[in-house]
Amino acid sequence: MTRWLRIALLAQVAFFAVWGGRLLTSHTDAAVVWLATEPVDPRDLLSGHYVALRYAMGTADGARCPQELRDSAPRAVWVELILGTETVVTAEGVTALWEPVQCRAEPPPPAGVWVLGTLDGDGRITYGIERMFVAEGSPLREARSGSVVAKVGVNDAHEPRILDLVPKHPTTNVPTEE
Amino acid sequence: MVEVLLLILAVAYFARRGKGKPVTKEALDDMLAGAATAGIITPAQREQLLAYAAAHHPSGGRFGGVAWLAVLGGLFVVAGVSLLIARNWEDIGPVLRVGAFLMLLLAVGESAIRSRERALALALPLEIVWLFLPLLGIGLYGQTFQLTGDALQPFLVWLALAAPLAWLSPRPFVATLHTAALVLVLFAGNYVIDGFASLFGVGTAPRSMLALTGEPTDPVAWLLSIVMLALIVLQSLRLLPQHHRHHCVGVVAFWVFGVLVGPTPIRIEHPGWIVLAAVSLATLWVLVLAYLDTSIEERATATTAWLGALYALTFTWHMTDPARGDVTTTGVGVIVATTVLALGAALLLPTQRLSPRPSWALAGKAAFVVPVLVTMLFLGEDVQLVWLAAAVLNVALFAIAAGLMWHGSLVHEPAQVNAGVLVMLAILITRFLDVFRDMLQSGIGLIVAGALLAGLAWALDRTRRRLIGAAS
Repeated sequence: MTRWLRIALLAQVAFFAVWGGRLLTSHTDAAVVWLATEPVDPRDLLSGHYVALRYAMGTADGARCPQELRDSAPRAVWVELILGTETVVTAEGVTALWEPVQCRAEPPPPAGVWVLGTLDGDGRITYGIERMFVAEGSPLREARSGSVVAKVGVNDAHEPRILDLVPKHPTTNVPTEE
Repeated sequence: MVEVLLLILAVAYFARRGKGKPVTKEALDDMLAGAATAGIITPAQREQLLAYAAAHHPSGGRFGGVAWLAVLGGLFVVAGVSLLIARNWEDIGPVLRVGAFLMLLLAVGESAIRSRERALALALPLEIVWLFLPLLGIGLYGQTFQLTGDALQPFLVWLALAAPLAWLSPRPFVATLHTAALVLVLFAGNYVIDGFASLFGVGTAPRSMLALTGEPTDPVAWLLSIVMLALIVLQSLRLLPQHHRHHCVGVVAFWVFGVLVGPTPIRIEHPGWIVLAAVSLATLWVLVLAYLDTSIEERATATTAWLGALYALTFTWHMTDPARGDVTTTGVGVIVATTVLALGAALLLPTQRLSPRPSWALAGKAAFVVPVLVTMLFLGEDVQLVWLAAAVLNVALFAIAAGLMWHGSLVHEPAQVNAGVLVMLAILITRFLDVFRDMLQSGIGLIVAGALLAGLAWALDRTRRRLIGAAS
């Protein structure tokens, strides 16, 4: 029985080692996009406090998914993002926000930035970037709707991951650009 | 401060429990050896007694006080680690977090393996911490790498990773915790998480992979739920202590009832069909336990649920309209099948499972069959049928209570007498308040009512004592 318990322990360690290794390496050198957000503030029983986020591309309408995709939900969808015209000012400078332009059911071509999501029967699309875990004393927990933008890394497998949640600076402090 | 007080209370409680710990195998062995040497029993009888004790009191069958303290210690450590992770140590990088967790998992697991045959006070907390560590690891990874997804998936992965511990642990604690977690995750995933999310407008989370609620129906969720239910039954029968082994029958009954009344695709909204489902499932639950020849203690929960269902229906004479509501064909099919099973089980149950006296066994069968048949009156379109059903159920419950008291005294079973007295008391007080409610508005009325209730309590207690005296 001891032998089987050791095998179970090694299986657990191997599971967490492989998973941890993949998570550590999957988003190195990933493309970075900035997304407008609408935060709210609940708590996760497992991982502590987080800011729950909604995105414009979080609905089939917002992601511009055709009707036939909605009819076949739940399913995986790929949403293409391009640099939009809206800009924001953050501690990292002035940056343009990315916007969804099209949605498809098949894996996309290599060109462009595409994010993989799951479309459900209610017309919602989830990407795995709907939560940003923050420390207990973080001022981000008090973030009001639309006051922060999400810095998101997208790897070659089109998996997005939140890298940071950055407060927008008031427009009155916007440095004028030449 | 509150935590310290709770800890002191828990220590005092469990230390007290520990005093009444059962006789160990070694102590029994010594005692029987002594009895054989003294010529009280023969060596053959000693062997037979040891074999009987091993079959009816497997080691670890009951949780002693020390064991409960050890479990509490393990759970405190788990809670502490969980709180540390929840702090979100931003200064610690992801590589260090992953590395530290792997080392901790390896150290705790190896320590638990090495100490499993040694002191209980050390081995058990280590096993508990090891059981929960994979769950905490998933939470840590989720926080570190900003992972979002199905709320139930981490728990399902944890249950899968921790299953070998439940099956390989020499003590039943880990298996009990694991099985309880399986039940919680199943019910939360099936009925609670998505309903809660939609109720509070938390629209950012995807639908749970175990959700039986909402549209469209997900066949994978149903399949996974049935697999989990089968696993709960298997673990309960194979790993749980004797007295908790058959709770799985109740879990299955509650799950079926949840499917019927929850917002699932086979939902029943007709109160008549719902009460028929409740009574049939409760009856089936008691009968399955009777068929398995379980003890009175093991049947206590099922019997309480069955009597509780019948008692609740005695209030339906207040209804002013017959039951109406939407039904689904599948839902009605499930209820009809359950009802037929309950009636069939009552009729086919071997009589000795209910009573050693054949006439009483037949009366027992009638006690199971009649309420199910009467509950069908709630399906009628006439409210007078509902009142008739309520009246008959009052009489039936009264007869069941009297029967329990009488039968308990005949077969020397004080627990049955006490149960009968409790049911009788509940019916009499309830109906008394129902009938004389208006009288309770005045002072004289209250005095008369109080005197009547006191007289009733005296008469019942006297009867109970006499019957228990006869039983013992």
